[in-house]
Amino acid sequence: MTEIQTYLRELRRHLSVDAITEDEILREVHSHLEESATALQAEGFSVQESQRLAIEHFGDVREVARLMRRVHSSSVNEAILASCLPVALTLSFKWIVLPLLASMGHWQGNPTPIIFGALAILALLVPGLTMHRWRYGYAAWAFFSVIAIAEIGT
Amino acid sequence: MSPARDMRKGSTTVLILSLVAERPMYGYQIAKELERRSDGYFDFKEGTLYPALHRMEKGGLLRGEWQVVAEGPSRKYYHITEKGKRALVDVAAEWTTFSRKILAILENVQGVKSGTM
Repeated sequence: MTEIQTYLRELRRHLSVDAITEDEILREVHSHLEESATALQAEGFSVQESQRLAIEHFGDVREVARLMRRVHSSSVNEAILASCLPVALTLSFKWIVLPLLASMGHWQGNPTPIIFGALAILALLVPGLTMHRWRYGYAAWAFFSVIAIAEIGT
Repeated sequence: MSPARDMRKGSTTVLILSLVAERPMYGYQIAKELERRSDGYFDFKEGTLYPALHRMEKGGLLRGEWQVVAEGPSRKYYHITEKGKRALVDVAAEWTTFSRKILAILENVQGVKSGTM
């Protein structure tokens, strides 16, 4: 593994941003380091030395990752929001919308499984279809979706 | 952080916007151009340039576009947007006023150094 590859691997480890942003950042940094190293080789440095110098000019990997995280932190917030959506939508429907309809006299009896099922499917689809630029939310999204489905059965 | 480094950090946006306003550029090119035009004064850690570029892209001042290169990895070229052009005019005017005022005050310092005050 070259020094540039090691640097990119370390950068990936410290980034903590969504998958698409991470890919873009790594491609851009890779392009920069390769061009920088090529220019240094043209000045007479060895392959290894030119890569080391290119990395040195680029800066500390943790600092670069920290600054990048600061710029792209909203993507993580989106993931948290998306992961909470299924249960939030389902519970708000069950606890707020249905009682409100019942109090207005437009709703009789218990909530029908069909309406609840449709809502749950919608709740599960929304984050998956619209907020695809995140990765760490998937586990939480799946967890909350299971809660939402379980809630339908109660 | 040294005062010089502080000042350079504060000028990143206007410097990037003014370079990209001339023609679309990619990160490495911007870093080298800044270094060349300032005779090495803006020789900062190149990795700190990218968070600034991404922040400006998110803010709608720049638009990034990947271009395939015949040899080597593809490059992300940054184009200035209409919003970026307007911001450049505003920020450049602000910097001109700022530097003029600073220089006016620094004239007194020159007087102190030469012993005329």
